[in-house]
Amino acid sequence: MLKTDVAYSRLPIRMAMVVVLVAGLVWTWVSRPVGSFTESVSAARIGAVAPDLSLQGLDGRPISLKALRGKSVVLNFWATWCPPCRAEMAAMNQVQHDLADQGVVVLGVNQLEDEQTVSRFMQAEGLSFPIALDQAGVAAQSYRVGALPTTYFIDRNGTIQDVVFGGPLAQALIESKVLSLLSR
Amino acid sequence: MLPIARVFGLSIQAPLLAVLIGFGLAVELARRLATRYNLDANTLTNVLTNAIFAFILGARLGYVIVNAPSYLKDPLGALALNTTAMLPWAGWVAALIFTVLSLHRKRVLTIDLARAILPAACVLGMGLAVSDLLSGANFGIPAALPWSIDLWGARRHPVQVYEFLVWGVILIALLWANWRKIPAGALVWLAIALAAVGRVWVDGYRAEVPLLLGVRVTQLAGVLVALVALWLLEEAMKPAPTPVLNQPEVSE
Repeated sequence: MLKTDVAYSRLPIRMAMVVVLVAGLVWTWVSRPVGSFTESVSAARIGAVAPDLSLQGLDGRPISLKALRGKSVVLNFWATWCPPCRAEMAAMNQVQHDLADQGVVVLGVNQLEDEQTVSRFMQAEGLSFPIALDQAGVAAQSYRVGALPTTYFIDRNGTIQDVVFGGPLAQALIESKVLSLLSR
Repeated sequence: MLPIARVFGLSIQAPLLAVLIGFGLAVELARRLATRYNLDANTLTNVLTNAIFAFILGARLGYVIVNAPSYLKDPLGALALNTTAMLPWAGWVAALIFTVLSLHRKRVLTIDLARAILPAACVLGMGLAVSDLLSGANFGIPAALPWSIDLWGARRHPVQVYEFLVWGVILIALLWANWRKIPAGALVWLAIALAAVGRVWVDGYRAEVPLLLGVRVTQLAGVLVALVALWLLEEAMKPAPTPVLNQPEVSE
């Protein structure tokens, strides 16, 4: 014959279950999002609308991110003195060349350098994708760029879908993230 | 938020550094607890340390496979040194399979390992919370409180800090339960119950969580998981039935 030893008490755990059920459901209801919870303010984070840029392009024409709405944008903050930035420029250029007809724009935002320096670099490397000059660092500040390179992947609706800190980014990586933007 | 930290002139991805430090501390805690409870500390430490390589390999392979068309054009890109071309869930699966198989192969895979691994997992959780704080991920809803943090253009609940504190409380509870020598199986359900309760509380302050019928899915799931885990904890805490020997009849 087996005799079960029931000296232990079930009460504490049973009470805990009741507390979890009642308090858990009450808190879940009380803390539910009310009103318009999706934050539509622009911010340099994944899921938010990308802050607008209004900069001068290398060709002298103004460049605005808002004007690129409807296209998938690869926004790359870089400088000629930054080795990983230089290393990934060819890949950026190739992605622009391969996917331009699918509505992809690779936009390089040069940090704090003059037009001549950037132009010389682009010609020497045989690069042709659009470049904006952030000579005052305003764009870098609004995007909280702490190190170079930093690359934002922005979909057709202007929403940031991914951000990569550092580099150099391989062409396959850039392309895989762009294809992900196009599939949205 | 501090996605990039400058250390001796080098730019380091601070969130990644936080995860690595958290992992290192977790492995050290696992080693000490394994020694205290007479488990194979050396094997456990080696397996957990190697598991990080399994994570990296699994995460990278997963990303390359999912994005195969891009990598077929640029195969060497699969070897590029960056932390972005990773599929985290694939990494976790690879690390888990590696850990379980390695421990099983070395014949040390017993439930008693929970005494070392579960507290270590809490330390890793604390490291991940710090990583989220540094990267600004999993941020909180706006709130004007004395302890709110400035993040993404608003004053917000520091849910990453709340998460850190929750893991700290769970760690203390598990160390106490270890000290009280509750069964190792019960320790597993206790950890799951506490983690689920923590999730219900913290996610009440988190922004951008998926909703179901207007409430956060993770909170509903947390309540359910906590109830099931508490029930299983009760079952695990039941003492084993003790056999009672029949007294032989004595005839006079």
